[in-house]
Amino acid sequence: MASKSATSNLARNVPVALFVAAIAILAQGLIARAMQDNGRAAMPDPEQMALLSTGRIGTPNVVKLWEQRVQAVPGSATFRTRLAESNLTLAGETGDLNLYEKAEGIARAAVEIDPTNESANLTLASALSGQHDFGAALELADGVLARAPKSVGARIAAGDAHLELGEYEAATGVYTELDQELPGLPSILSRRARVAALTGGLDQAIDLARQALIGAGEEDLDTFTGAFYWFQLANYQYQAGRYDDAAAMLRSALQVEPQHIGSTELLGKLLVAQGHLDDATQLYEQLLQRTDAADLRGELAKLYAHAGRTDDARRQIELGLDIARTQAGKYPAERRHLIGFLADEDPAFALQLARDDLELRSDVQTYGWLAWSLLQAGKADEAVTYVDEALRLGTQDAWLLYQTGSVYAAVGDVDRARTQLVAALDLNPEFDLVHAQHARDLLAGLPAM
Amino acid sequence: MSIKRKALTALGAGSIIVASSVAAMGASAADHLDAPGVRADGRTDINDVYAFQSPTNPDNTVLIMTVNPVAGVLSGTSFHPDARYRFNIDDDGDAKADTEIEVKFGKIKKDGRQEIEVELEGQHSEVEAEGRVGEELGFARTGRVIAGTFDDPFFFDLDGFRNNFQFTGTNFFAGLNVSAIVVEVPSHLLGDGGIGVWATTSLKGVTVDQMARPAINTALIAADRKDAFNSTPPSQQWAVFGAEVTARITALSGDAAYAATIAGVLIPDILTFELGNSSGFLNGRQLADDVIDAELNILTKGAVTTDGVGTNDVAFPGVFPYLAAAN
Repeated sequence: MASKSATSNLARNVPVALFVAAIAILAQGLIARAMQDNGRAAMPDPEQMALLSTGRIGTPNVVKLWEQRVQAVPGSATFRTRLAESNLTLAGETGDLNLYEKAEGIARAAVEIDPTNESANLTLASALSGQHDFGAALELADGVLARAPKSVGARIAAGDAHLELGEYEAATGVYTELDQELPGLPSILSRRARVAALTGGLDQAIDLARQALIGAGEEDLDTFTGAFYWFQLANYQYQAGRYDDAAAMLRSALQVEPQHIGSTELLGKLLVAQGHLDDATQLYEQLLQRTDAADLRGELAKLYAHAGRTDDARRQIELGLDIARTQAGKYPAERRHLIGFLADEDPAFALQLARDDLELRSDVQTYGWLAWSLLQAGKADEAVTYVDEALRLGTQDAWLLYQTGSVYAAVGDVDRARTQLVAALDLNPEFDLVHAQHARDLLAGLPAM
Repeated sequence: MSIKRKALTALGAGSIIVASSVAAMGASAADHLDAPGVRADGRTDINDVYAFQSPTNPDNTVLIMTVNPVAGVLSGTSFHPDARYRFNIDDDGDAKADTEIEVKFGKIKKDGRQEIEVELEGQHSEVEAEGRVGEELGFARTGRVIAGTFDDPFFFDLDGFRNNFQFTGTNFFAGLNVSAIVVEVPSHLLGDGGIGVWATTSLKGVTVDQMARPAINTALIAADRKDAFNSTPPSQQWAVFGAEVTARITALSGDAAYAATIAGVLIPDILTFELGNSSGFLNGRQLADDVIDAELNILTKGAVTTDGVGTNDVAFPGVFPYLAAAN
């Protein structure tokens, strides 16, 4: 079995049989969606979005095409940039983290050939962002902006880097400016949705993601990009505990692109939240036949343990730990997934990774996971010092609320613990098979008011 | 909304699809939440426009519009079902359309194909045809229409152009495809002497792209004015852009008087064509015309004579639809 980073192009497909089963489970969500959509702009037709792929040669062939061009004209910055871009696209489609490093090398060569080439510099910035070197990406974007202040691509790259670095005001400023210049552009609406979700406006995030999706339905998008917009809306609906709505959106996402990674993984979480544990187990088992990812093994272990299969659960955890040890140093972009898994299984290791992540960025979720890792490592007093940073935006995310509530509980701040835990469970009552129950138990065990 | 996306950058003669599509991808790959970058819609992005006497019937005129730059790779291969693709023909020299050939497409069917509807509406005639993309349709007795994916007929050292005219003779477009609408009509339906031709794409009544001669917008209009150029009717282009284009040609040629003359030829951006005349560019534009060499010569007053690419990478068939098969 190959590693996730090397082979994920087949890795996270939903097998046909499972997909069909999932459709039956998700069908109830269609009714809810129809009611939600009553009186609003029409949602896109996922079949039409899927059919837009007709005639496209597919990203692996695009990579080959630009490789041939680079071989034929090695001195062309344009061809090298296109090759780097196509590798980045492939990385996004497959989850193969090695491709970011490969794209970085190609883009660096393009920049060397033509140091002021905007596309080459922004492609390099993208490759660096993909490896979570957001500071370097921002530097490159700023370099382009110094030469071309109105560059849309450079402003987006800068805004995205600011967002990941936790510089929310700067990111919001960029997105707002772009939204005024390019009203209704799906890629900008999508970013505004993300900001809204981070800043406590989950309903607004859902609305913006819906607008982005409707706009995307009018564009000629490849299927992975088209599926993204359905996935993003589903993700915020899931975060808001609107499982049936999320199910309907995910169904469309996977109709547009059955191999969309984010949608497949979210489907697993959704099946758990809806109590379809056998289907969720089957989904994770089949994913893991094609890939290895510590967090996926962690999720499967929870399902096995819940079903009383403790030996199988232990085996999954051991395998996950092996993967985590291999990937931790190599792929900073995988770190947050690993922290989530390791905090349960090897808190000291999780804490090390969380501290490393803080060196790269200081967004609210970095603080949340650091606080959680500290708590799991028995350092509640230090954990509580990061809670304010984690909550500074008022983010409505069940995990973040649960993490901070647990920290407050550990240091005896009962009122705040109760507030956070109630908020987490109100928002997304089944956010995790194990930890949602733990949140309920913790809440029940708090001293009476 | 769509118009503004025009300003993002340029690829070929008229194309706007860009590398900035990836500018923001991968920002947080491990979270799967990174939003896509800005993308131009290739379906309404006019690459090139051609107008020439039919090689197979001297009484007919052929009009071709290509869209979907690098079709199948950077763009898809379908036509926008809500767009209007239009050849505008002026037959009295006022830079306003007297005859329009409008092409519409249906939604993509399960087999990947679309229905097509073509309508010629002139002062004295109205002709219609319907069918499916990829099929040759009879049109106006001796005319024909086809829409589909073909080899990109444009040839140009794009990389050399971007590299400050350091041409290597590499045809960027070799082996790449476009979507094309090919219309052959009896010339008398378009006028009886000289005509002007330009192509437009529009959505909900708003012009998305507009083009006639190659690379006019790309080479002569400032980046932040390209959208405005695309939405300015040819009849108003001289008033709005004449001074700007003259200044740009002056900078390229070093000769203000020369620039004033040339600017008056290139603006409004209309492909002038003498019906029944078999000559090529600047009389209309034939597929094999080396328009880049011609324009380099004109714009630089002979200082730059060639990009080193003189022909398409594959031969044109010489019979309808005149474009080479897709790669």
